[in-house]
Amino acid sequence: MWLEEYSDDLRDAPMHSSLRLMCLQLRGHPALFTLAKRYETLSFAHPDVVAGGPVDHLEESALNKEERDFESDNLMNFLSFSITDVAEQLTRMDAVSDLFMKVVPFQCLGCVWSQRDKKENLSPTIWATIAQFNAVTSWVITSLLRSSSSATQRAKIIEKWVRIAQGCRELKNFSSLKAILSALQSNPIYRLRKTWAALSREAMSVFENLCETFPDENCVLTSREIFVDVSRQHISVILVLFIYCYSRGDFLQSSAGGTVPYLGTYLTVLTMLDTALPDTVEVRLESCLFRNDRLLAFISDAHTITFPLLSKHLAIIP
Amino acid sequence: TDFLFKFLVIGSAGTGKSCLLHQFIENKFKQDSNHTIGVEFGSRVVNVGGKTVKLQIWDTAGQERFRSVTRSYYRGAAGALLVYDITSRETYNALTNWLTDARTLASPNIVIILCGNKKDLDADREVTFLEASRFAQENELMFLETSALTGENVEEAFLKCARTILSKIESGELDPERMGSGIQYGDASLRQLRQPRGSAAQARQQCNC
Repeated sequence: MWLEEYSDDLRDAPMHSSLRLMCLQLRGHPALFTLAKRYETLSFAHPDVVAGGPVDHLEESALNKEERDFESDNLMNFLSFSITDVAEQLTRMDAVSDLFMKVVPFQCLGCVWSQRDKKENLSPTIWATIAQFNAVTSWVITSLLRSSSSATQRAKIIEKWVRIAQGCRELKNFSSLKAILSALQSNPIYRLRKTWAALSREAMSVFENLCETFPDENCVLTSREIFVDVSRQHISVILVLFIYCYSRGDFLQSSAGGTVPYLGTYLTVLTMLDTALPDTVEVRLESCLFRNDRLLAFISDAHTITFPLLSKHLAIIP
Repeated sequence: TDFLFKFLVIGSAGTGKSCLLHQFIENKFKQDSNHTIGVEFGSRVVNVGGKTVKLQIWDTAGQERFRSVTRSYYRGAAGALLVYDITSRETYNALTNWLTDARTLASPNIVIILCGNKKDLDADREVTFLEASRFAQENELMFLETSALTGENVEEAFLKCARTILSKIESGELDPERMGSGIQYGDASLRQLRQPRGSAAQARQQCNC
């Protein structure tokens, strides 16, 4: 196997954190698991590959293999993957690996997760999903930006990703779907005019359709038109709904074709909510001073609605 | 309203983008006694040079941590507040990337104002006013230091940006009729202004009356 010949390359793992996440994919798949095992053995021959336990070795090396498939000159490697397989793998990484199952709704609250200055990471479960999201985005971008590729080759890869995105859409994996769409719309990819011109009309229309319909499908409240007109009360309702859905597991019943949400949409709403109505007692009192009675009633409502659900959910979390 | 502008608030996480936006919208709250909680979160109608302009403001609010702030977010924006935190050099260093994205993904004509936020935290300052204003000059940006906490220059930042867009429309440099300009006519101006050619010149004349 060619990788064994180039085992030295395994010493270089430029994207450790994302690679580690990518590995979850390999573990989920019987065929790839064998590969993972194989490279575990291989990387034990190089104990200095990464500082970490055997699990790390397994992950890093297996992932390097994965990455090299895309980085290697053999373009066909990526193109030969079945679309369904890739979409399913991405979903496995999100769902089966428990990445999204582990999300604690409480950590999504704007006041908890969006604090840059806090040194300790107060919402590790959120950050894990973000790292996974960004890993997929980088993966897509990297697959397209190999220097040797021609515009036609790149167009083929885009077409492939568009179909994988569609697969994610069918699996209701909105996180990976959004990650792929974001990558394709990012500056380094968007600017490849010749490549986009070489894209088939069909793929282009699928892509545009996915971009347009994405917001409505992911979240009750995402289409900007609705958002602009939304009242604060509704934002709070979304918070409650979100916590409710999450605690009921509506999102994530993976075996029964559940949904992997793109958390970004929710986090934005929750961050805005936190900016508008910070949920600490002091600020709450302060806001009472210049807001009217109706708002006051609403705030106390929100508290009575939110907290039973929240605590109920927290009780479920081991 | 005469016009509707799409505005973006961009910049690294933790620079206070949501607070800036909230401060700007909240100001209206204080002035407008009428209104209760059923209020639009992301837009505000302002009066600029005798015209009423509705600013529809998009905020990434945390999504910049995902690599998801892309074309669909930028598309059709007429103006942007590019925000960094004066107490964090890291957020200042990221400006070039944000700028490139804005100019490529929105439109090369997008009107951008650079905002050095957290002006109130002068003791922790890591980026001087001079350095940032040089950067602004080199990149043809307007520049203000703001404080979302005290509200200093917040209103001014949004208005300055809106004013510049409006004057570019009046001088004919920006064409609201062009696709993706991020500018739409409001109901009031649709009646008066929408003429096949030279609508900009017309608008100017009407303005001077």
